[in-house]
Amino acid sequence: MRIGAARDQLILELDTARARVMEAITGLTEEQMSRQEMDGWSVKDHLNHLTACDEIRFFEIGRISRGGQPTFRGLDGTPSDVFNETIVSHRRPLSTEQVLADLAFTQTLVLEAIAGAPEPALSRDAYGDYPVDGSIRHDIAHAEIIESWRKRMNI
Amino acid sequence: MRALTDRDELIQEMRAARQRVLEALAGLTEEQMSRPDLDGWSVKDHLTHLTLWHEMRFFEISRVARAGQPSFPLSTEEQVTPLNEAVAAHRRGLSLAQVVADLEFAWSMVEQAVAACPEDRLEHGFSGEIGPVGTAHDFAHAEMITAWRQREDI
Repeated sequence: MRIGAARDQLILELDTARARVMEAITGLTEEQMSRQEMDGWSVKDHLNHLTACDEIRFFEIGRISRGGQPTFRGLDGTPSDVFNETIVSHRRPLSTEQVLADLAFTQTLVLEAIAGAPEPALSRDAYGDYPVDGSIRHDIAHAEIIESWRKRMNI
Repeated sequence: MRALTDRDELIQEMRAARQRVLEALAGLTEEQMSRPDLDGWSVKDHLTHLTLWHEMRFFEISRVARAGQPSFPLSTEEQVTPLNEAVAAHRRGLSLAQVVADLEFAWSMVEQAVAACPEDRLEHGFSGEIGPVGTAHDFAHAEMITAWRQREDI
């Protein structure tokens, strides 16, 4: 069911997806969130990854809003792995408190950028690898990975 | 006359570095700025590289301003080269107008973040690869561009 304007709908879906992530980590201790048991990544790593993607997304929305082109297009394979592993490994020592604060801060900026973006910048077709609505599917995908891990580990 | 605060000094340094970069570019055509003559990078590549680090710097300052830790530890050239090369390659297709606009926007975001950051965090909060304003980095790339122009006599 669509609710309100496209911009409102987008913001609603982004919020809903992020809420799914937060539900997926509810009740986990810092030790549990630091276990690198999901193909070498911990829950904190997954959250840092989401933050890094939103950091890129924030600047991509600005670029498209100014009439520019996206700067990440067709980023797959080695460049994507380099980016993800570099950022995630650098952020691994951060506390859970900071990881969550960084995640929230970055999403706030993305939502503010969306709120102020011209209509053409709300279309995912204007973007490359980090579309304006990209964190909807991305957040849910990572929430599902965390949920599956919790089921496997019974925690 | 009021003495400058550390924050004011940082902003002044940043503006001076920005001016130095813009002076290094002055008068170059888009074709000249697209030549990969500086160890495989063009002037545009150098600018998109500066933009990348200022974009990361904006979020780093925001982290530190909230009393968090920096997220990018001190790194060797070899450690950051893969990231730099990947991003430069992805931004190579951008127009000169966008490259400059993106850099100007990133500079403005860093300046806003510095202006909003508690003074004591600006002084003590940065221990990683990304400093609070990136002045030395801007100057270093401006010097590379200037040296290339002198070699090429353009």
